[in-house]
Amino acid sequence: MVKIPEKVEVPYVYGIKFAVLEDVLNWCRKNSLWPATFGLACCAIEMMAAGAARFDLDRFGAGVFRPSPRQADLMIVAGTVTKKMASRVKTLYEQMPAPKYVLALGACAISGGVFSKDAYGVVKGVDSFLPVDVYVPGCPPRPEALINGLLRLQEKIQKGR
Amino acid sequence: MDTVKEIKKDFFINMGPQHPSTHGVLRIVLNVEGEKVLSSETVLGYAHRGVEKMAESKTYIQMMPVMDRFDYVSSMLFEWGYVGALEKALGVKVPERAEYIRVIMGELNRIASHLLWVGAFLLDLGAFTPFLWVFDARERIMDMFEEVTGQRMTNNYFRIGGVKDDLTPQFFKMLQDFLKMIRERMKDTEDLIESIIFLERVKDIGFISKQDVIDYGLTGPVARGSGFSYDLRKNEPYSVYDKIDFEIPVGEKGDCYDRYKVRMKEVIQSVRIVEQALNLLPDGPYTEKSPKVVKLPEGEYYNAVETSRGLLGVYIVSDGSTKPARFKLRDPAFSNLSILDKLLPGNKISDVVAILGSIDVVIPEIDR
Amino acid sequence: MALVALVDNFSLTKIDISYEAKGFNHAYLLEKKEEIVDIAKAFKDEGYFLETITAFDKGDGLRMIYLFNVHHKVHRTAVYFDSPYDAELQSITNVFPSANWFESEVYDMFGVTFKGHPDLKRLLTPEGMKGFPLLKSWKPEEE
Repeated sequence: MVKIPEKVEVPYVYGIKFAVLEDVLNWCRKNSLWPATFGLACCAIEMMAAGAARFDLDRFGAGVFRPSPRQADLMIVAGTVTKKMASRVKTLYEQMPAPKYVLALGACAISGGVFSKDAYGVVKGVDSFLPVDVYVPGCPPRPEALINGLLRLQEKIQKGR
Repeated sequence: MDTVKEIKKDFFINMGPQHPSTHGVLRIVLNVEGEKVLSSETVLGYAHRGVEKMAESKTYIQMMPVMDRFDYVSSMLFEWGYVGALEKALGVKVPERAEYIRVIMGELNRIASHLLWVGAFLLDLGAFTPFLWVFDARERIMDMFEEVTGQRMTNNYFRIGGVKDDLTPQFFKMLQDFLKMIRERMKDTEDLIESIIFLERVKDIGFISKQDVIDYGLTGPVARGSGFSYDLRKNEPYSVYDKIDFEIPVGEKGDCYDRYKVRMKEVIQSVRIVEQALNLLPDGPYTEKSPKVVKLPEGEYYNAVETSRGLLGVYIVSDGSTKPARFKLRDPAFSNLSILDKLLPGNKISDVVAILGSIDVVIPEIDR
Repeated sequence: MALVALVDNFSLTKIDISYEAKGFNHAYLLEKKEEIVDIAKAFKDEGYFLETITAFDKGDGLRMIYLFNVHHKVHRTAVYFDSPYDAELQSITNVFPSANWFESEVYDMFGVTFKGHPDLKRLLTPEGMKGFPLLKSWKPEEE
């Protein structure tokens, strides 16, 4: 016969978890990435598609596209960055409150893509003037690729960069 | 009251280049007095990549994928303009099956473009739900493109003398399903959109008269919204459009509502064209044997097609080598947008978005 | 003025082109380039619209192309004339307002200026751009 104790002692109360504060903050940050509505070229359409009905970026807490950079955490550089636009992109980045992240979407934002040679107006890669966290290749990348990029970024944020 | 009058001054509002409803990187400098726009200046060039210079150091075949990246929402129609110019120059005859495949894909692309426009237009006006509805329908077209061309948007599907691949059985199945649902979906979307709020915002603003259409060289739905029945598919039938029965919807007054309505009706006409092309689709080769190295005979070539935004002209000057001496696009949205500075004065700031949206611009196509 | 009289009234020579090869329906070569304003007026009176203005570098000068088109028939007409580099041409913005951007673009790309243009500016190229990119002699700056 197994002796059943009359009273079971609960070692901790359910619903309370102890963690490092930094981890908790990172966990909050990664699940509420608000991207700036900022399309430059073709990739912006796939970004819109990612936010629309089928792909539903909202599942990852990143569907709240903000028109103003001052309310955004994540800048998705979607498309060709031209020389005329580059200084504006930089200003937009500077306007975003920290912590802020940059995702280079598509070949043009990564390296200039098809325009990397002979097109005089194109900046060859947004990483020449912005710190890029995640690169998503493709021309344009599929919405799934963007979602994958976001998940990678979330991993990165959880680990504290 | 007098003090209010004294401090009332005009000031400038800078709209763009980063603005949610300038569809990319357009910049409009508005001189406003209170809510009223006094004058405006459109600043271009924020997506200027220098493709016309780049084309001079690329071979004709290398330029083909670049054609997709001008007007990325109706990319195959742009490929059509370019490939058509090369075919004219080389004297290549396109097999009939390929022509019908081009018509099917081109019209699907036009539907996708108009659907995207409706979604974005309504998003600009502050309605979110129609955006989800039209994107759902658009995703089905993207699936079909992916099935045949391997890409969702920048398809690179047209080839000199035909197309890259034949249509697959799966494509026909998907297309049948799509054709079954699209009419009803369009009707539902229209019912959803046309509330009193929407009508108040788009009716009787942004008038474009018939004289404006001539003065500013407007084409496409913008010209048709003002009552010009001008469509290259009817007026200068290329490909097999002369064998297909369809109508050109036109507006009456030329306000934003008419331009919206024209596009909605064009979707239905495109559906009709696809249905007929599907019935007429003959057997046979889907492409002519095309040369590996393309060298155009010396001379100038111009080819015009009707894209979802209007008349696209591709102008090529050849010096007999494998690379063009001059490559120029006469793009529809460039001319269509040039009327904006005339339309805006006198309107309220909130109408700026509606008027700009109703013109339907894609910036990389304008800036090249 | 009917279009038939174009050749009689202006220093135009008809260029023989077949539609299939070139894509234009008619093409004329203009000798005196200042007549372009009156030619544009003649086209406008007939209900034509301006399809585009463009140019290309022949190596020893520029060739300007004015392309007119009309809604109700297939009648795309090109008017060509030769111009030296850095020339000052007559603007047709008073006739066709759409010429505003077209002429700005030609100025931006080729360096030709237009007399009577309301606001001639570099339309597309980035700020601080040196030279005119579509000239054959233009080379991109080393980065």
